Amino acid sequence: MPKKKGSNSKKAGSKPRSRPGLRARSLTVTMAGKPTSKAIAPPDRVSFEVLISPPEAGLSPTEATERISFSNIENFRPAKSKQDQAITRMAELGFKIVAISPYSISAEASPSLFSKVFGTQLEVRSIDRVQSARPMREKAYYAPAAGAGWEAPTELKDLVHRAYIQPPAIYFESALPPNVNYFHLNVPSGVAVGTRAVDAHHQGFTGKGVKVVMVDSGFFRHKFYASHGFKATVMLAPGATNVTKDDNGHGTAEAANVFATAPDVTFTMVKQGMNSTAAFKAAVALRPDIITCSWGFDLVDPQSPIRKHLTQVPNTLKALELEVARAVASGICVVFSAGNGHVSFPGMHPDVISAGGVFVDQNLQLTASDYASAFDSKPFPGRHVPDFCGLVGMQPHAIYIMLPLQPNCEIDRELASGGAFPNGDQTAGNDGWSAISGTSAAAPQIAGVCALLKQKKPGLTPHQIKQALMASAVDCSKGAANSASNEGVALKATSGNDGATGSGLVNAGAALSLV
Amino acid sequence: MKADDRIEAEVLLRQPKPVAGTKTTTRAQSAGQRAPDSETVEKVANRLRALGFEVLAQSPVSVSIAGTRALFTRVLKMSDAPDEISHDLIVPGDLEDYVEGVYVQVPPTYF
Repeated sequence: MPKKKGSNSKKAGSKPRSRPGLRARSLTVTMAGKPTSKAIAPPDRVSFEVLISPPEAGLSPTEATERISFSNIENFRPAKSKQDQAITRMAELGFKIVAISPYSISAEASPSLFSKVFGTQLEVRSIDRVQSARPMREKAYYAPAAGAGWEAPTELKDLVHRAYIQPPAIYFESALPPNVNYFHLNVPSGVAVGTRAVDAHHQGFTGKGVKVVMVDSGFFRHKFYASHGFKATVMLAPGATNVTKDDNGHGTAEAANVFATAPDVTFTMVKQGMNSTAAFKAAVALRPDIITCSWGFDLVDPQSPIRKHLTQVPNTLKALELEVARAVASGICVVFSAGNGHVSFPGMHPDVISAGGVFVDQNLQLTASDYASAFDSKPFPGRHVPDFCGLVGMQPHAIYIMLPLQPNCEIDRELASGGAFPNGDQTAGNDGWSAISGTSAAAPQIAGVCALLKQKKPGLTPHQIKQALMASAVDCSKGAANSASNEGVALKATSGNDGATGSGLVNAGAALSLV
Repeated sequence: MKADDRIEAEVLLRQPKPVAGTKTTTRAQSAGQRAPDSETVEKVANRLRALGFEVLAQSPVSVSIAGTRALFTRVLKMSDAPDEISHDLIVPGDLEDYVEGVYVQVPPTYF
């Protein structure tokens, strides 16, 4: 699973906002590296790629007469001895080496050092870095001035073919998802239909006035949200950093599930750092109606080949157990994912709504998701997981719901690298869309449905909400849950309440009629 | 403090019944009964600050703290081996009446 970030305390909102309409002019940078007039300030480093001189009788990639591909790339590999010498001499000249591959060296330097060593001139340029529904955001960077010369110094003359400054990447995310050739659900419509939230919407219930807080990896202001009129506030939990970024992508993606079922909720993302308990406390302090969490801890013996369940909650999670109980006692409806083969805590806490998984196909047939967890809790005897389910895909990777996320984030790259469906999602790794699900998607879907009930009856208690949703769920009688969550035995779906899916798939329309 | 040197932990306050190392579980209906009062919470938080920890959050359940590995090792007797994270630390003597245990936090798994 994607790693969490380390954390340094940083106040939210410390980054400057963009100013619409501002354009930087091209400026000639002196050898001292200082801009000659006011403009958006570029960073004080240039990043560049160094191509090593090609082997004898070989060509540099810039001189190739044929398309470079996996079949001929070896023809462009320079001699390692030459590359090693280049690295040493570049470091001696003051360049910082940041990455090395057989084909190029990634390096950084101050603009003045780059200009001086390579006998060139740089200018400041600007780029519209992110196309978004908000005013264009610009980024300034150094680039070779038009007509400027370039020459390798004596120390590098026989070693380096050329050094190319790298401009900042442009994020291409679109408000609309990419087309792919396998069955999947889009947001918001596919999830709204699958959870029967459309029935609620037609009755005028959209979650308006209900506060939902999600604790997760962050929230990137993807075009999808603004274009649909979905509004989100983001705050940092203690220890978290970078309020505008979601480098993992999980939070940005899963938040779309809340809006799919309850488009008008008052939504806040609490970006967590290293400590989920501290983040959960921050969520509670906001006094929301609903808290949704698509994460947890896998309570199994790590030495056991069958993933034997632990019989008590570890000490390190006791504070979280108490905080969850306190939150529910205070009237907050708390939803946790059941896990994806995990024996999940707090997903097993009796006071939460534990969200499992059901897959709905293009013919609207229901099957228990074999990706989602189902088990009887040992730390909480009598507690079965899940209570009921949201929409979750099937193994191997539950590629099922096309969700927006920060372009080029960990999940965007990971899903794109898997190849063809069902191992990959067949989207680009930097397009800001990935087809994912897991019980991570189920919990926020259900949280949104909880919001619909709260809108109709604000006085509903967490217990009453859970009872209404359990009583109204659509039965799923086919398939089985993930055996990894139950010591190798996959719990099956049967008619009525069953081990794999609990009461079945959430049905927002029917639940509303019960409250 | 560098990100990889930062440790975060929960200082679990003494509840009506011991919870650490037991099968005792806490449900909503009993949560908050005879929980530590705000004065006790503040006393513990202030003492932890005095010991050098950053207090991130506090509640009747626990005080969330952060500090360097060296601080955790010196004050709470955590292992100083770089690849080892002790999950049960030693409660300073003057806090024993108020604190049940101190537990290092690890990031969760996203599902």
